[in-house]
Amino acid sequence: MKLRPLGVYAVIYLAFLYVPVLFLPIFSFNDSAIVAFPLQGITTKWYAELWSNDVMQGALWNSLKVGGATAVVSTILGICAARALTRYEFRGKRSMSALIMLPLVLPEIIVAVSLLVVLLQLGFSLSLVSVTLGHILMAVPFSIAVLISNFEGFDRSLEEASLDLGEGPFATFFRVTLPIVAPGILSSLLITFTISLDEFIVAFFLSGTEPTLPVYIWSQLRFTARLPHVLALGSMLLLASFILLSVAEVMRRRAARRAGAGLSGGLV
Amino acid sequence: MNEKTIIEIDRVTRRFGDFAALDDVSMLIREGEFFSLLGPSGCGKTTLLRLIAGFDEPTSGAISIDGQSMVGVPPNRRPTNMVFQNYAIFPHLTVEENVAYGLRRQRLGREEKARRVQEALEQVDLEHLGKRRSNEISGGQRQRVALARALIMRPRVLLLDEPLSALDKKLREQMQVELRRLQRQVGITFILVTHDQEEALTMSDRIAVMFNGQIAQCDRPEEIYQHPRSRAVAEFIGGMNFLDAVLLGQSEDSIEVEVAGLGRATVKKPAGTVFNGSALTVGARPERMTLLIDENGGYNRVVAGKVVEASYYGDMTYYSIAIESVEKPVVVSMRNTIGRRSPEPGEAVEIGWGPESLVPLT
Repeated sequence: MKLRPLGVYAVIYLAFLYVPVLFLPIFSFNDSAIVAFPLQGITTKWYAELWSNDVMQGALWNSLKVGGATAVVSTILGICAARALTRYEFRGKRSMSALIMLPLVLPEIIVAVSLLVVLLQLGFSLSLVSVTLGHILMAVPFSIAVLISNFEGFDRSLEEASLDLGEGPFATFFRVTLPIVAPGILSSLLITFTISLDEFIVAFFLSGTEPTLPVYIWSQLRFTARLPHVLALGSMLLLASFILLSVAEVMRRRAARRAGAGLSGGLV
Repeated sequence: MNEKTIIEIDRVTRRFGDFAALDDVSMLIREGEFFSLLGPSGCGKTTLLRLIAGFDEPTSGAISIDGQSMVGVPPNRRPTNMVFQNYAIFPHLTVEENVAYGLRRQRLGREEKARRVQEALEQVDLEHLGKRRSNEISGGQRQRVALARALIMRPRVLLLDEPLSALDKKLREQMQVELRRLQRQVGITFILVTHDQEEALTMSDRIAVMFNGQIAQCDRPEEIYQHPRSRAVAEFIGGMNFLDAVLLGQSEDSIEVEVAGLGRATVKKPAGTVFNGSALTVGARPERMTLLIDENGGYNRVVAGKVVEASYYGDMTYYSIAIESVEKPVVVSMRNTIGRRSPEPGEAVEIGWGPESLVPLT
C-alpha cells in the first residue's frame, strides 16, 4: 500500500495523543519503583497497596462527593437554562446564552484564582463546598450543551397530544416528557460528574485541607517512591472517565434520536 | 346528516397583545358534518381549532360542545381529539403503543384493549405495522397512526390541523378520498383546518372561509365556489375574472347591471343583500364562459375579442382574451375535448356568456 501524506499525518497525530496516556497503565503494572524501560516484570502490588492507603481512600471519597453534588446541581441548572434557551423567546437571549457558555473557554487558572479571591473576601472557609461551587461553574456549560441538543428536538405538540388523549399534566410529564428527555439528563449527569472527577486546578486552589483525588495525586508526585501508586491511580481514573463518557455519549445519541433530532452538537 | 348542533362558537375573540387572531367569531357546527376552516396562513383558523381543542382560551366569548360550556375545561376533559399538523407521534413508543396511549384512563381489560387497538389499526389499514417503532414508518403511515390514535378515543368531534400538508400530491389526493370515506363510516363530526381550497371543496359538507380573524363566508362548497359573496372569497377560491359594472337597478333577488365590455344583464344576487352606490364588481369564472370557435353555438350574448395568450394545463387550456374597453384580459377556460380547434394567440374570437356567468361581489 502506498503511504499517503495525510495517512501518515493521522497516525503521528493519534500517536502523539494516546501513546503518553498508554504509558500510564503499562508502568502501573511494572515491578519496579523506577519508571523506565526495560520493564521489570508484571505486578499488581501497586494497586493492592493503593487500596490499603487510607489517605487515598479519603481523597477518593471526597472526589465522589464533590462529583456527585456537581453532577446533580449543574444538571438541574442546565435543565433550566436549556429549557429556557430552546423553548422561550426573550430579550437578550443570544448574549445570555453566550455568557453562560463562556466558562468553557475561560482559562481555568483565572477562574480558580478569581473564585479564591471572591470566596475569601466573602468570608467562606475553603472546603469541599467551595470546590463543588467551582466545579458547578465549570460543568454547567457542558450540561447545557448536552441538554440543548436533546431539548431542541423536543416537539411541544407531543405534550399537547398527551393532554388531548386524556392524560393530565402530571401523567403527561411521566409518560411523555421524562422518557424522551431522560437519556439526555443521564448523559449530562455522567459528563458533569466526569469533569468534576478529573478537575485539578480549581480543586487545588479551593480544597483547603480536604484533597480531591487529582489534588492527592499531585501531592504524591513529590515522593519518587510513590510514583507507581500514582500511575496505578491514574490508570483507574482514566478507565473510569473513559467508561463514563462512553456511556454518556451513547445516552446522548439515544436521546437525540428519540427526540427526532440529528446527531449534532455532541461533545464527545 | 341531522341538524343538531354539536359545537356552538359564540362571539369568540382571541387577542395576542394588540393583534386579534380571532375577532368576534360566531358559528354553529352540526353533528356529523365534515366542516372545513379555510383561509390563508394567519387568518385565525388554527387559533380557532386550538380554542375548540382547549389548548388555548378565548379572550372573550364562549365555546360549547354538545350543549356544555367549555370555558375553563382543559383539553384532557373535552370530547374532542386532534390530529396534529406534524402528527405528534410519540417517538419512544411503537405504533401500537401510540394508538393505545389514550386508553389507559379507560380501565379496559387487556383483551378488550388489544381488540380496540387492532380495530383502530384496521380502520386505517395499518394492522401489519403495529409492532414497528414510530421512527420506522413513512409520513403517510404516521398520519394514519395519528388518525387511529385519535379515533380510538371515540371523540364527539375530530379536529384535523392541516393533516395533509406534509404529504406529496398523489398521496394527498388519495388521503382526501380516504378521510372522507372514514368520516362517513364513523359518523363523527370532523373539523378540518386547511389553506388548500381544492382540499376543502372536495372533502367538506360546509366550509367557513376566514380572513383576518373573521369569517368571510360559511356555506356549502358549491355555494362558496359559484356564489362567493366578496371579492376576497372569490379571489381565494379558484380563478375568477373581475369586471367593473354599473348598477342600474335592483329587486329582491336580482340586480340589473351594465358590465364593462360585455353589456347589460340581470344577475341573481343572494337574498337580503343590498348593493349601495352605482359601481360594483362582478365576477365571472373562466369555465362559466365559452369561446365560440368556428361556429356560434346558439349564444345570444356574444362579445368579440382577440386571443392574447393560451396556457395549456393538460385537460384544460386557459385563454386570455383582450376585449375592447376592458382593461385586463378576460380568462376563459376550455376543455381539450377531441375535435376542438385551439385558437392561436392573435386570432380574433368571440366569447359566449350569459347572466348566469356573473356573480355580483361586495
